[in-house]
Amino acid sequence: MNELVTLEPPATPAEVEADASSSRRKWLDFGVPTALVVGTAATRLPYLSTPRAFVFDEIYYVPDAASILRNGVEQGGVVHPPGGKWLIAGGIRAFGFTPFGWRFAALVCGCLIVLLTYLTARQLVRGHLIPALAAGAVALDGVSFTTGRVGMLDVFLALFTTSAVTFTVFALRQRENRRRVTWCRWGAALSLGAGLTVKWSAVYLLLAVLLAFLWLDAKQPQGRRQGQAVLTTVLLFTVVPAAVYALAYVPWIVNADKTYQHLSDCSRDDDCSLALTNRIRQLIEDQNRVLDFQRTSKQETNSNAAPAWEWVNQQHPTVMFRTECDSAFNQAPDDLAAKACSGAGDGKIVEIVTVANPVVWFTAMGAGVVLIVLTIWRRDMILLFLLLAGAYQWFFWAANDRHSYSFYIAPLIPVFALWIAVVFAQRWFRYIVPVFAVLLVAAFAFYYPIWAGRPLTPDQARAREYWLAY
Amino acid sequence: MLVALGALTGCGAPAKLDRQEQVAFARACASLIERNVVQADPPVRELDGEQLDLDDPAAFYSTLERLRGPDTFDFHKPDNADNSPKDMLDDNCRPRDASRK
Repeated sequence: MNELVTLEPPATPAEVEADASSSRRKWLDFGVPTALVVGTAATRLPYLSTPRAFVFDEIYYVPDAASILRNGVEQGGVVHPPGGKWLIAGGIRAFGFTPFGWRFAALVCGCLIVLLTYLTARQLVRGHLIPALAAGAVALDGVSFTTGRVGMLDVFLALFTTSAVTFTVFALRQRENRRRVTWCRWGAALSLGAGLTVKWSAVYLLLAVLLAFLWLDAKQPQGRRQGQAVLTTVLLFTVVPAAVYALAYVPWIVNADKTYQHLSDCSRDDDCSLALTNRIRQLIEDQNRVLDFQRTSKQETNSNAAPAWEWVNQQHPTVMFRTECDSAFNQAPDDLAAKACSGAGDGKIVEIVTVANPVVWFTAMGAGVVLIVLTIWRRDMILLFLLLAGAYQWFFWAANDRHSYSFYIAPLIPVFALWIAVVFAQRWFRYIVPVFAVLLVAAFAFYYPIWAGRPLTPDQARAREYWLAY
Repeated sequence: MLVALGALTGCGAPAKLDRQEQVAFARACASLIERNVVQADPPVRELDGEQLDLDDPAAFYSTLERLRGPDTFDFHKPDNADNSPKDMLDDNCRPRDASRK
């Protein structure tokens, strides 16, 4: 397997040292990621508090977060673990039960995803430009943008899966440094565990990460130590995520008397015992109930969901919020005013559509094909890992007959941006970089109104519905 | 930052949580009704036996205010504990089609 991802020759130690010691490089090391994070926040902060009504599944997760603040557990039956709702609750605790409060954690995590994408791309390609462009692609993508501005779970899942990808790439890139590999192994395992506390679908990435670290173990010298390393890796990527997941349910066990499972057991079967064994049994029953829901909920009648293979050309995006404005809305008293149409006249359309930036998405589709060729040609483990990290997080949805929402794509976007970075680092594709950058920004400016929920005329809204062409 | 958010959650509920959540539910409720009503032609729907007519905005919103009442959403009511908040919102806020009466 080759050492480097790019076709460029690797930098010599002397070049690296000279590079690191230059003050320009130090300035860029700090300035570029700071500019990316500040820039991302600057695009996402305006209108973060509108609409003041719940957007799509905020109606589930935001009141659940408030319930966690009150009782330590969610109210009613839930279908996802509590991790993401704890983060939403942190924003509510800091800024109140206001749209800004319940969307704040998503904003922070969305910016962190951009930063992680940049840091990971820096491990893959030389210089700052292409890594910054990859991070910019995430910042200006429609799925990342919309999920990074609502109090839903997908942005948190995307953060933790991206974090696992980052640790894995660092380990693969610096595999001679055993100590660093060990730290990265722990980081990836903890990230996947954190992802599982948000949504079970984090498990899709686990296989790709596990394979990458097993490959690193296989590169160890033969002998007993290699066997131990393999065993340690398997244990680490099963026990640690499971332990983190279990830890997230400690508040559930402590506050079992306020849980849906206990309340329904108590009222239906007169089983009101709060013994520890009963709390654990009820937790297991609750997990089984969630599993049943995930197995049986096909969503095939939901107009906002579609088979995941349709993601390939973004033909069925989820409309998270849509209203036709009426000037009467402007007369609503403050405590009833959702302000989605603030200042907009009759007939204007306000919608929030989770559709990818077409420039990012279709470039990534092309980059994926190039990456497959490069992986076969160069037999490079890092390239293979990047491909698998994307493929596994798509394949398992596509193989499922359940209809999916387009915001499930959120964990894929940073991986796709890395695909783009790797391909743009190849000599043959470098001429595309400026074109891509210009089109990326232009597409963001054009689609911004349907990502940020800004008023449009019906014609303007229709002009942005490119998926209707399919 | 993430640790700080998690730690904040452990600090318990903020003082104004109930009031703020009541208002948020009222806005969500009004927004749901607005979105339903505006699709209709003529824009009339019914909620809890009362007609909703967006052609008269003052009457429309005063009806919503009246129907909402101060205790429409009680987040501490023991009977509500095993219902999801969405159930509570739906029960109170889904306008019914007047033609189905």
